[in-house]
Parts: sequence; C-alpha cells; structure tokens
Amino acid sequence: MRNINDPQLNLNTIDNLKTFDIVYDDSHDVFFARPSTPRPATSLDWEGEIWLRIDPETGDIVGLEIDDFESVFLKKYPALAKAWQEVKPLCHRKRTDRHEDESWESFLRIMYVFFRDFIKNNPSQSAFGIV
Amino acid sequence: MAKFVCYDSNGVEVTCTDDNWDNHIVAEHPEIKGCEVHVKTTIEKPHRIYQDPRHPNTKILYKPFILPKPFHTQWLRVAIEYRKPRFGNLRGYTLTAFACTGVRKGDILIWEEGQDEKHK
Repeated sequence: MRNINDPQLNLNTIDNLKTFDIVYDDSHDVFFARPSTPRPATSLDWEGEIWLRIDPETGDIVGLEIDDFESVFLKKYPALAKAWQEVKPLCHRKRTDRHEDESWESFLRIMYVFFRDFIKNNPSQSAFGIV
Repeated sequence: MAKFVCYDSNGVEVTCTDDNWDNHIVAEHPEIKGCEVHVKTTIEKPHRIYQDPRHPNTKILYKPFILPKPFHTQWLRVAIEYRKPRFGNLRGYTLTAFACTGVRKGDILIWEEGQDEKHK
C-alpha cells in the first residue's frame, strides 16, 4: 500500500486570487483563474464545485478551475452570474486591455470575495488516501 | 490531427486531438506537458473509473503514482467523452487531464482495479 500525499493547503495564499488572470474556455465551459503563465500544480477538489490548483511542495494556491461554469456553477450562484455576464465579452484567451475596463476590475473584486468566502466557509473534500 | 489514439479498457478507440492537448490540457495544466504516455496508460489501464454525474457520456479515469516528480504521489485524472456517430462505432475523446489529490465530490465510482471486468 502507498499513500497519496495530500499537500498541506496554505490558505494564507488565498490573496493570490487578486492577481490572477481569468480565462474562459467556452468550448469546454471551463473557467480558470490563474497567473498569466499557468504553473504546474495538483488539483484539490472543493465540495465538488471548484478545483483548487496548489503547488504540491508549498501548498500555495496557484489557480482555480471550475468545470461546467455557465451550465451548472453560475446557475447555482446567480450573484456571480450577473457580474460574469458583464465581463464575459472581455474574457478571451488573448490578453487585451481589459484590465483597464472598470467592469473587469469590478468583476475581479467580486470574484475574489466570492471565492475567498466560498473556500473559507466550506470544508475541503478528502482525497482517496491509501491505495 | 490526433496527438495520440489509444484504446480504453473496454476496447473503445479514444482520441486526443492536437488542439485539445495543446490548447486545453497542457496550456492550463502544465504539469501534464510531456506526459502523453502517462495519459495513454491511464486510459488503457485505469485504477478507478467514475461516471460524471453531470454528463452521461463522460467517464473519469484515475491512476495514482504515474506522473513524474513532484507529482509522483498524486493521481492523474483523465476525462473522456464518448460519442456514437450515426454510422460507426462508439468513440472516445479526451476532454481534460491533470494531476489531483483525489476524486471530485459527486462523481460515481463504477469500477476499480481488481473488480470483475463486466462492471466497467
């Protein structure tokens, strides 16, 4: 038997979210918040809704990923959906001058507060453990 | 163009396109760069298979201890969507692949290594 190593999540790095870039892959309906250059990471399930991407050695949060973002997640959290509809046209894979847009900055603030509270208020999902 | 084609544990052909590999899997999960063979091995010989409860045609395959350091103590998760064309056989297409610490809450275990093959 071997143990899956659960990296110790460093929740103090949740403020990293403030600096993340936003990418939406509409062909797969997946939302990413991550550094402009994504970092290698392992993904930790958070209540079946969010994958927190964390550095396996430091536990730092280096991104988050949400599957079925528009089809499932936003329908469950309509407050975020409203903000998203305003900024979605700005959110393309290629970087633009969207960061100068007021609605973009507003969305980033809303997103940060939402995910900070979501992560702090919900227990994480335990991993497989021993194999 | 296909990055690779392989067969899952039920003998269904599974394709990973260049576009999906480059622009989704590796672009957003750089820990998977250079790990084509590990993704293929997970498709061919998974340790556990889960049903995605949101998508009836999607299965999630997991295999532990297969990725290089520093992800060697993690799981590799591969999602495959199966499509049946009007004419032709069922085929699978990789949706994503990344390292993870464990299963997503809500996914339904349908088979694990050591079980009777018929449960897949």
